[in-house]
Amino acid sequence: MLIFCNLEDPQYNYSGRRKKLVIDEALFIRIAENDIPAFEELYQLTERSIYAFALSILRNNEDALDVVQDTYLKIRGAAHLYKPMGKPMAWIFTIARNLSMSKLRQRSHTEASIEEDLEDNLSFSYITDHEDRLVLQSALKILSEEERKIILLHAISGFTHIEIARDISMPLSTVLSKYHRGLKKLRKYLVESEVLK
Amino acid sequence: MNNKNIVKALTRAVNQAPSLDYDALIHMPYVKMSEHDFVTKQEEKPPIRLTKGYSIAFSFAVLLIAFFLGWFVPYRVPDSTITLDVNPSIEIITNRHDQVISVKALNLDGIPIIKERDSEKKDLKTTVSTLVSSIIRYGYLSTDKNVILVSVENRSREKADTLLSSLNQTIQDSALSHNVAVQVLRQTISKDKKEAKLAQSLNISVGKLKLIQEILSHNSSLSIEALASMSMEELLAITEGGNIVPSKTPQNIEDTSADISDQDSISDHEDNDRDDSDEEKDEDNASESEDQTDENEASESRYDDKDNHDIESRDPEDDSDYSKDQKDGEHNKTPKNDGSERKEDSNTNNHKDNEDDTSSEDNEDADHSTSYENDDESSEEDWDQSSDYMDDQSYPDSSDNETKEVEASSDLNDNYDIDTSDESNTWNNYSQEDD
Repeated sequence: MLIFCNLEDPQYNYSGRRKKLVIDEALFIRIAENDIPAFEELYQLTERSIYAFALSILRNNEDALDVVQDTYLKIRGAAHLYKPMGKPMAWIFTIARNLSMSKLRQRSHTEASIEEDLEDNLSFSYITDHEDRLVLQSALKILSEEERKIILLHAISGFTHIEIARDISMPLSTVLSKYHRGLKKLRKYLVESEVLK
Repeated sequence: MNNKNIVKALTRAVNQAPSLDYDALIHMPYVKMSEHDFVTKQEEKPPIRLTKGYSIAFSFAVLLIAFFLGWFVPYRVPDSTITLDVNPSIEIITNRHDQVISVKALNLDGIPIIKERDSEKKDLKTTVSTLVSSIIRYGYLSTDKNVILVSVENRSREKADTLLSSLNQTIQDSALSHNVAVQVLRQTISKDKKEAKLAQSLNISVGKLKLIQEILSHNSSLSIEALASMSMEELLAITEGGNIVPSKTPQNIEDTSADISDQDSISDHEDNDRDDSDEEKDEDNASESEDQTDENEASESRYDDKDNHDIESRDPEDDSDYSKDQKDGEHNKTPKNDGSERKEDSNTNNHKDNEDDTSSEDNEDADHSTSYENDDESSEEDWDQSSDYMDDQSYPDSSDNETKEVEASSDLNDNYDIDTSDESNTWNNYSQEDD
């Protein structure tokens, strides 16, 4: 598959603040009718969120991008089958999760390889800031899958914890707990790492 | 580094990651699916809104129940009904904590009385004191006319008695503060729908109605409407004088609903039926004593112990009536000229033995209820008779119903230690004469 790098971030305005993600279920109806502008609107709104979601599962940039691409292709192929349930992002995340699970099973690399990739600064060489790269690598390394998912979704998509709980089918209390525990764990690790280093 | 900075770092790191080429993406081939596969299948769960709605409704219902049981029942549910009768008739309803829920005027005279009361104050004693003071200021109570009837209705006889004693003291104190010595007639009454309805139609209290019924049972020459318009002073004079007809002519009282009260009408309260268990507690019911003045003096010493004397005889001609049985728990009816209290009591149609005075002991020990309450059917029949009485000014025909009424009055007479056989014969004879 051809993957072209695109460093534009349509979700962020010039001030750098996150835009609130609001998906209209009517977009799927239009996408089913092969409405390209509707698909583009959906892409602009959701691309980073799906990438963060896939990255939290796969912990690998290339695999995450593959899953993002396949997710959009699945959306185009199944949009006419979509039943409105009031949670459009939940359906998109369901597709992304299932594809990520399939990717994990297909992955020829072992867990040790993934861990090595996380230690390798080359994997995230696109991140210009050393500290930011260290934070992301540490998060992907020490946090559990659910903690990674919740923290990255909250950071990237701007979803509230209630929305995250709804879209990934998790109790709100669990979301809040894992979010705060994950951040605490990460902060502690970062402090200790800096101390050690 | 705090959490906020960590989140910002993650945001920057992820956003710097390369994204897809959109143009290439939209030109990529895709498979239009005929049905969902394992990747795109949507999870069909019941709508959360419905469950949430039920949860909210259930929580609200629980809160309502808690509120109802925790606050409404102890503080807003009527527990006692107290009526004050002079000429004005005033009804006070209290909760189980003896706090005033509502004050209601039952006739026109009572309207200005209750208006002077501070509706914010819930204390019963304060309320009664204020009402008595108002009654005195309006001239209904004075040295010349100083009779007030206090009736208490409560499921618990003990509580009713306790309230009566307390209210008696309160009324005495309030009257004395205005230099008026009052005679307080006291009685405990039980709920009765029909009596309440009749009392309401006559613009009088149930307590006053029971007094009138006692008078009528021994002196049928008067009409119930005439008696209803009389003051307590006049009614007491009738009972004391026997055949004394009050000089005051009965006034036509308009059938107005003098329901100026702080709360809603107590019609629900009045419509509550008594439990059967209440019959056991209804040994003391409203009735009228027909004590004579001389007999009062004679019996005065015997009523020092106010809680342990039977109701005195009504028949002024029968001195033997005062060789009464003195039982605990019975109320006195002896008025004292110095304004001491008098208690009234009434008994029921549970009469079983009309023969001798000693049966009164049994009757006193037996379960009594008001004469028209024990048996609804008989009560109804009695009321039919009463209505006949009111319409025709004549006694009903001799019948089982009449017998019951006779038995009721005889029963009362037993408690008053009257020769009931004579009384009943007199009743029957009189009724027969009118047939």
